[in-house]
Amino acid sequence: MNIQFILNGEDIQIVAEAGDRLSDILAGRHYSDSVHQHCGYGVCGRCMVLMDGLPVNSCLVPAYEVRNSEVISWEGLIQTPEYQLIEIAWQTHKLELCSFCRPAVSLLMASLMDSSSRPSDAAIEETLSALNCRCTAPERLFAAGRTVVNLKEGRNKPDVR
Amino acid sequence: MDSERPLPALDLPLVSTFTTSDLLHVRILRSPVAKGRIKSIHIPHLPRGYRSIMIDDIPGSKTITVFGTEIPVLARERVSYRGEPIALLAGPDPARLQEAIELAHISLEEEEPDFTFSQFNSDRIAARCEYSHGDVELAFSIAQSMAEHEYHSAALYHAAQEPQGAVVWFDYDKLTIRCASQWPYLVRSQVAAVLDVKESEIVIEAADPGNHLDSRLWYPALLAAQAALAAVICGRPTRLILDRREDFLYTTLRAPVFSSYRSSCDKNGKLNAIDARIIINCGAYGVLAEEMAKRALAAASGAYSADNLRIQCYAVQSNLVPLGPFAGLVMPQILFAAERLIDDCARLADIEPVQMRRLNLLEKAAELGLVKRKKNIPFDELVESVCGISDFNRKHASFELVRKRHSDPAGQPGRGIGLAFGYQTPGGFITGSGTAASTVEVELTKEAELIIRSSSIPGTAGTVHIWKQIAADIIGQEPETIHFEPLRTGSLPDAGPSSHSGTITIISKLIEEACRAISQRRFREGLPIKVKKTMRPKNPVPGGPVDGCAWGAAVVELSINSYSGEPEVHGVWLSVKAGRILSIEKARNTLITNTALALSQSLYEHIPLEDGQIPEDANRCYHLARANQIPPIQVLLADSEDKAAIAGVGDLPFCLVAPALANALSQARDTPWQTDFASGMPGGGYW
Amino acid sequence: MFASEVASPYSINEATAFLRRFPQAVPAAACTRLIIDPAFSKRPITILSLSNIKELQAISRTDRFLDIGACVSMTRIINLPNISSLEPLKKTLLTIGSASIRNRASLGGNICSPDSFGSAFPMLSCMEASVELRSGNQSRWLRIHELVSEAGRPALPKGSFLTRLRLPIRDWEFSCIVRKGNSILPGEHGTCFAALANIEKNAISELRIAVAGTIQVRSRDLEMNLNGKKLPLAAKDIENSRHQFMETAIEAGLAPSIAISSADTVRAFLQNLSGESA
Repeated sequence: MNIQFILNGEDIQIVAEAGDRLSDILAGRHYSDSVHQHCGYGVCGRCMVLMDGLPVNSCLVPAYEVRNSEVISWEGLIQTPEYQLIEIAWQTHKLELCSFCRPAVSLLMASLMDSSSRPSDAAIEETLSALNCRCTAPERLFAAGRTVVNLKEGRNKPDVR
Repeated sequence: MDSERPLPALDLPLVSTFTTSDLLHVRILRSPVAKGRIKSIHIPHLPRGYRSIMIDDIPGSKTITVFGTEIPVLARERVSYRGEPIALLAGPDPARLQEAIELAHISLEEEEPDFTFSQFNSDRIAARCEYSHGDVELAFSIAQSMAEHEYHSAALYHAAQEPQGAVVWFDYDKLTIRCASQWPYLVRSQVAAVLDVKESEIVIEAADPGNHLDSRLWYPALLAAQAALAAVICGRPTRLILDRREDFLYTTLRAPVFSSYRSSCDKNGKLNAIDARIIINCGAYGVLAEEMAKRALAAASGAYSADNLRIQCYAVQSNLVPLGPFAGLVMPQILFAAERLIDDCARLADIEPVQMRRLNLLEKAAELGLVKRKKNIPFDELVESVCGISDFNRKHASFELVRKRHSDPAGQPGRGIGLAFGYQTPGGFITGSGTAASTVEVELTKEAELIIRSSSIPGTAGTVHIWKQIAADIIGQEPETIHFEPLRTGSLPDAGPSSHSGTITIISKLIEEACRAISQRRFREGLPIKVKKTMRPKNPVPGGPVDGCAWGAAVVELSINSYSGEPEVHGVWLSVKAGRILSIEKARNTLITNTALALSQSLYEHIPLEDGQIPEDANRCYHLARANQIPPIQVLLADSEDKAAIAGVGDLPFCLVAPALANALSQARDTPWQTDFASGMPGGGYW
Repeated sequence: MFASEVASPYSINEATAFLRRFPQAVPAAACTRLIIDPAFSKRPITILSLSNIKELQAISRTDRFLDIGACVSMTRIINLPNISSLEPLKKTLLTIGSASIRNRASLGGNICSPDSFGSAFPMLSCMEASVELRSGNQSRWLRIHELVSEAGRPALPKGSFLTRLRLPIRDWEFSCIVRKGNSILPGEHGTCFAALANIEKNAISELRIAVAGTIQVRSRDLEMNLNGKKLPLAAKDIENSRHQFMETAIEAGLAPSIAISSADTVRAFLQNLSGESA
């Protein structure tokens, strides 16, 4: 089937099987090197993208559902000013993320910044736990998430809890 | 050593993102049974552009040799585990390859497989060692009582970020292979042997291994050999990447261990006899069997001793996938048993766990025949600090009161707090045959740039940062002027196998020595100056609590959820002394991260067995803890000792968390908890 | 997932018309579960995608009921503000998947799992939710337990699809949700236990207990026996209730180990009720 969607601001038109997964399309056709098809069950979270503004596991999105949607991968996110805030938060908390986790953590943090209201600490932790990160201490990850939210709100004081 | 500079990224390529034109995919046709004789293999007709590859297509060695053990690249007559590679199929469309795999038929004469390992025939023993002093039987015969204990450690999946795989392409006259191996030179030598070409014709480009927990020690050599074989036969670049299910079911898992102990102690709690029998399930082929058995022998009584001691260790083969390398290489399983033993003995003797440990601690200058120590074990320092921050003594006494009051404790889930004390041996872990020395070359160029050449795979970006900082401090240059040569074999000296936690101790020392040598020669000789430093493994007691170990104590507090019956961990406290610490920040982060992983392993990660085998859908049931399921973790690092050796700390949490958790669980449930995983009840299907 | 054909209608009428023509089509919301179901990886299926139908994304509230469209994502339900009667359901939804999965997964999809009950089912059963089904030109309301066959298996009427879920607005003093087993998908190797209770004048005024995996078990006899009982319950009553639930569960076909562990949870819930009331 023909599928049209926007990826990182660009119109994409592809032919795919209806049941193909979005991760197959993005990684398999090299639209994005940051989308990793690792578990295929939505467990690892390393295929994370923003779809219509929300973080989703692209391995659980069938191709037909992508039609007319807007998808942002890490490659698109790093072009935005928000990404600089994310990097500041990482540096503040000396977050050591591997190449596999870095894109998904960035996208999840970007989604926290997009929240209409300030997310609670529990919501920050729940959101960042969507990635099964095995390369950094959870407390640092959450602290960086809180800092990102603070920075977005213009509170320049990084959270150093 | 710490600085406020942002951390550099670990700039290694990934296997899965590699692409090139004409790329062929490779799939593996696997044995459907765990043990048997192959009678015939029928592969359906493949269209043009597709190719099947059997063992007779291999131009060189039909096996790879890892740590002295031969493993078939493709099975010829016999299969030794379910999923063992039998043939390769290569072609442009992975879906068609999968179809062909499903239509292929392998006719086998199936034989009765051996999965269990608590009982075994002598022909299954891959390695065996024993030690004794005193007279255990005599001690038991005169002891007032003797207790028997059994402990089980389960297999675990490494769950590294990327499933294992390799991509191969031709680069002029060289065959280049990208794979995430902990030992690129092993991959190169084995691929060269299989293809019957010179090693110099093969280049290995190291890929990011993620948090591999030592799962990439040798297995990538097998996949690289298979992918390279397909590339050479088809004359095209190839890509062989396992899917998550294959990665789970058919690559190496942690070796399960069954430990049985007999012990007796006097009325004061002093152990007068320990008789240990430790059996390690090595799976098929018995890779690293000797190393694991030796380590188990040296660590079987943990940090403790008894006047009469007998230890027997067996590494046993079975018809499961090759089992073995995993963070700490068998040490966490052995120290789990040792720490559970001391706690169970304390309980039987009605002595406080701290007191029991102190009383039986391995003494300074003790000669166990296995271990000769010159220094004191920092027991009091570590245990007092960890008990202080966790309020262990008060909580333990209070939970004991509750436990003893319950008439039917099994029906009244309670609270528990557990202590564990243990160590991580210094340096790399491979002392057996087939191990290369570690070499690092450092060059100060004419442009005054420092280039470090090592094939060692840094665990994280932070490790690279530490190495640069070491060099910067000695040479007196900014870290920005220090570069690592890209990780490719050929131009780099062989740094030997990089281990999950031990690499930092060896490579840091070599970089330090090389930089010191350059620093001394710098203004006496013209540039460039090149210095090469080599270290050979010389630890005479692999796994033993020798001088130079990193020591740690851990406390875990938990309660039993009355609804689910599952433990809920409220806090974990760690106190660690690790000689000279290069970066306090990095060491603390490593300890907390690995404590979280160790908790995940103990609380959630469990591979069930069906008729002794891993079920085909086991990966769907393998839970990993999410970040918000991890309780608060507090780490105390003892002061860095400037003149001491560098000791890794990354494996310590794997050695300490499981026994501390099981000790807490034993108190909360008022029944000895025998396994190092908390999901499932004792009495269920053990490994 | 092998989807040979997909229809993505924009209205319920179009969807029902399609389902009439292709009764074998599988209605799907976000497809988060179908896409990983091995049963659909080889066999070609026709999918009736409901995600473009606006009515199925609506949430409305009356004095007595909360109506939730079948395609409303779990995250939206979790984020609904100030409805205390929804707390047990929110607690349940938070045990399902991760935040990024719940951003797409819908409550309707969870209820309509084909081979085993979704994790939300036992709680919805305890809340005595109703569901609106559409087939042809007709719509009908069923109580959620009518989606369970006599054998305790999922039994969504063929040729119809779920459009709305209706939850009574009612507060619960005590709730309990426990996922058992290690499976990523419920049903295969795990179950979900749910219980709700209210207390009035130191007696149990309302009690509901359900467990569901590949089959659902709800012991109404047990609930009736305990309703009206004074608190704290006698230890003997608690033990008898545990035993009764275990027997019902085993008789219904639940694996003995799961039946025992569910019965233990019943005991713990009743003990907690007694303890709290004291």
